[in-house]
Amino acid sequence: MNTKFYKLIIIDRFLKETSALRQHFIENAVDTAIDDTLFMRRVRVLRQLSEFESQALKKIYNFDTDDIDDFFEGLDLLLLELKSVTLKNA
Amino acid sequence: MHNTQSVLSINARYFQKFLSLNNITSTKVGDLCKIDGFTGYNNLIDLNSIFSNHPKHFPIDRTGLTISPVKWSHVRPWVVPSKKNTLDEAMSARVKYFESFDKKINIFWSGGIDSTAIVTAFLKNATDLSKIRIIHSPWSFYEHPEYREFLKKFPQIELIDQSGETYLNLNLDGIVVSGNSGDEIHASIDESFLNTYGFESLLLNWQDFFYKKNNNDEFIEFCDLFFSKSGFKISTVLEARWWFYTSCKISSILRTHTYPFMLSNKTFSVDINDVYGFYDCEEYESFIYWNIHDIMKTPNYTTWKQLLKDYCYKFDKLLNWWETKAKFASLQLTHYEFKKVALNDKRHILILGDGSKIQTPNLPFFSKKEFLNIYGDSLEYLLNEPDKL
Repeated sequence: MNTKFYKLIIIDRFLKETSALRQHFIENAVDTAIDDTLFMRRVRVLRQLSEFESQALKKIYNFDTDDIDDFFEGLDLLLLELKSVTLKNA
Repeated sequence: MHNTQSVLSINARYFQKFLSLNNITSTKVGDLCKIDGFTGYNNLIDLNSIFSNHPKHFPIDRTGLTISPVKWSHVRPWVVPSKKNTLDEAMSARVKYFESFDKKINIFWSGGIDSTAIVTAFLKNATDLSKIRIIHSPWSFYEHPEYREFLKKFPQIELIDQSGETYLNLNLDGIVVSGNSGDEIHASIDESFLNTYGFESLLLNWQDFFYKKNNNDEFIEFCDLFFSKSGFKISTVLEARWWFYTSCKISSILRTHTYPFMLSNKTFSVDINDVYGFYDCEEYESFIYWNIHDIMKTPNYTTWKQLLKDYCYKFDKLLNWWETKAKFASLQLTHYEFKKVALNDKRHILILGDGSKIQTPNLPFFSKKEFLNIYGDSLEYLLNEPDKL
């Protein structure tokens, strides 16, 4: 099965989410720059977001399946994880 | 390699798919699923649904009455308590048990009722406080602001703030003691249940309550039989609830959250046998079994686990927490757990009894193809035969 098409769909959807979050955190970092602790936390989340994004892209690229549904189930779980990774208080 | 092991923890996100890989069909119920052919187990899921709108955390039957779909490790069989402990005796005995290992004792303290009672037990009874290490986060002190000053009275105790990035690679020597198991052994009374049915519902005859939610006679007969394993005549919803959570759920949150958290360090592997639920023990059961009706005595939700709050207050005299503290579903540790597992890429389909993980390389993306490539049918031994009831 040629999975490139589905991988691109998943990558597109995933990166749209991470881009929106990245922008949010950058703006928030600007807003909270006066507070050293908050600023440090926002930058930390930005760093972790990049790590997570890199890890996820590798997995999407390497994923091997004969079932298209696996891509979308995986994306749902990935987006759940993304929520945890980018929580402000974690 | 694995065929002597059994299952310590199941990732609910992948369980239904794992079952289908082994040609087992199932139907989702909350985070769990009813599994074709496992009648007894499915009755436990139905029982869980009586008490919860969204069942989560796998029931693990300690009585042996039902057959579980998987072979579980670290199951403490149910034994009807013959001894009657007071609360002080139970807490003291449990502390002495942990001290007998002669290792560092790491206590995860959230600021909530269960973990604060654990800290109190150690402060009261431990012979060497320098052996105690309290792992907390800023949210622990949000839940219990007075405790910061109070703990300064015990400078021998090491405090570790696991927030920031500390929790991502928490290397702990010694044993780990968690408050997970505290909710379950106190009947896991959530506020939404009380808001829906009222406090008085806890005192209703359980058959009447159950029939309104599930009028299947076979299910009620199963409950009758299952409840008889408790060793006493269960009459009320509170007793039924306590029995279900103690006999089937006492280690479930430990398995779902604590073990994956501890096993997801980048570099350090915890010995899974060094991780304990404080309340998951014979000593505490030998107290609570005789005091079920003290678990919650008034409609005010702050009085759930009042006995533990009283235990703490008698020792620390911290009035505000004693008066106002109610169960607060602190998701902080859950967030830490999911984030740590994801960032450290320590995802699992199953964790086995020795702490090793069953995983495919691209989780959370999970495919039959990748799974069969690695494991084939080598994990079939983890599954039980259906009970055909």
